[in-house]
Amino acid sequence: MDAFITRRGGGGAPLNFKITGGTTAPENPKENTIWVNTDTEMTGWTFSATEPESPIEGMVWIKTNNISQNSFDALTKNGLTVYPECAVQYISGSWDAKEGRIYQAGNWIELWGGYLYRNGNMYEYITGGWTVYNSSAGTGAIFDDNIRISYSGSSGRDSSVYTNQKIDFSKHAFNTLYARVNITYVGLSGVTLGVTQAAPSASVYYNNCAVKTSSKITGSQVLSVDVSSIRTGEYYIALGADASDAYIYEVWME
Amino acid sequence: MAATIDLGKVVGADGKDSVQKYNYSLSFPASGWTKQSDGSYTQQATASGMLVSDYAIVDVDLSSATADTFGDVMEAWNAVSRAQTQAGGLLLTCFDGAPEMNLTVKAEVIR
Repeated sequence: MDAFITRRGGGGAPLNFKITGGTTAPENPKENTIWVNTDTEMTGWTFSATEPESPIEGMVWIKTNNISQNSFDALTKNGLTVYPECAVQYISGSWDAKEGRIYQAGNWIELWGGYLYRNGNMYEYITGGWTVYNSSAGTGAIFDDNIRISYSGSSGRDSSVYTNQKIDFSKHAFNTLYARVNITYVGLSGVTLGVTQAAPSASVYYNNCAVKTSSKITGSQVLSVDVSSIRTGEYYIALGADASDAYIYEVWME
Repeated sequence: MAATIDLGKVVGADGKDSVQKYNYSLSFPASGWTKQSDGSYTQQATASGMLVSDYAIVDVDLSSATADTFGDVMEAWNAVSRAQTQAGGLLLTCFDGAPEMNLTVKAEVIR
């Protein structure tokens, strides 16, 4: 027989979502539970399209846009639609990108802010990891906190690094692809940042990129290429050195 | 007919028990919820002597709640959509997500 349940409605909030932090996803989540994968205590949270002023240590900022595919009504009544893009957390004076997921329709769906590689962090849940491809004289390699694309020899001097899996550009609203690099030597076509559907190879410059940019200037710099024209399809992100030498520290999209 | 209340019993003036009251304290751990095919979550706790025909009043145990935990406890309690007496147990059902913390539930049956 049905029982009488006391204390209905007391203490609850009219919010239609929940944000929780931790290193494991919560069990039995409710619809629109956002989980931020972090081992740093979450001291607060905010939804905003612009950077919060005066954040405190541990604050989680859920970036918002107007096209996220994971939108939800923030309130149980009189819906306030929120479009979450990604999660970052304020740690030691800077915003760290964190893996964020939202629970919708029985599944955990990733939120992502655009980072593809950062000082050794390969963002495998987005990229599947990165792999270096060398021609006969290529000497590129992956190190703990950077990736080097380089060569040593007189022919077959291509070296490249590709994401292991393609990125679905239809799921995100990024306009520009960036790479922070240090080019120590330039030859032939220099260092190229490209987006391609072709299978990975040691060359990026000649690998049928949808968009690309190349630099023949030595030194620390940020390469950038407009990807706003790519709104459908899946693509590898790649950097290649053609008889050149470069260190890669960060790759991201905004 | 005059009546007295003695040790949880309502005793008729003729000395015969006309109503009996049973109190239960039941544990519903966060890990004990089972997801059903319709998406709801259920959990049943053993309540010795409870009958499916019993009418019960159920409440969350707040004896350990503090100012910091009260909101979380109430949020968990409000996830419970339905309580049903069973033969030897109390069945709780949540239609929209299960509580994420352990609950102690008090149930009172008057029979």
